[in-house]
Amino acid sequence: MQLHRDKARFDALGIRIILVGMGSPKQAEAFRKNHDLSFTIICDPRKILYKAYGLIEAGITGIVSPMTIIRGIGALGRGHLPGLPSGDIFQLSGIFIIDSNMVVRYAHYASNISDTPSTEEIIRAAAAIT
Amino acid sequence: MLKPNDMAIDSEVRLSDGTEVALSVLLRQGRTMVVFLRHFG
Repeated sequence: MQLHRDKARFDALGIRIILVGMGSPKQAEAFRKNHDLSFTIICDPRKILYKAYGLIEAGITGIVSPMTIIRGIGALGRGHLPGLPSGDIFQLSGIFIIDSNMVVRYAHYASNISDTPSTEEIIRAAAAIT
Repeated sequence: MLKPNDMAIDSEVRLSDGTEVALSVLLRQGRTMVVFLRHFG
């Protein structure tokens, strides 16, 4: 997992990373072990947090499109095997940086299933937060 | 028209009950990046 590889960079910026997923605690624990993660993981099978943050579900073009196929092949080429779908396969992802005053300072709403900001983009945004 | 990414900036995190409480406790500990996954895989 890219975020885990870059964890030290986020640590240096004083940013803690929390993962939210739709799966069960058992699935989360397997995920943590498979990727040797040290992040806090919140299970949100009812998608309460997803809805609270305004994360939407993809239409069919958000799942199968030339862009998602090309990026999917690219990810496979880099050795990223897709995991088994769990929860809502149409649910899109998102990334938010929230400051200590509970204010959102960076937000990325995925527009399709392959839309993920680069670590560099996130690091730049995080570093700009005072 | 603002895009969702821009609209979210500077918005206050809404915290009410249930699952949100778990996150709220963590958020109060300092700057946090919350990553919403599509699946645990």
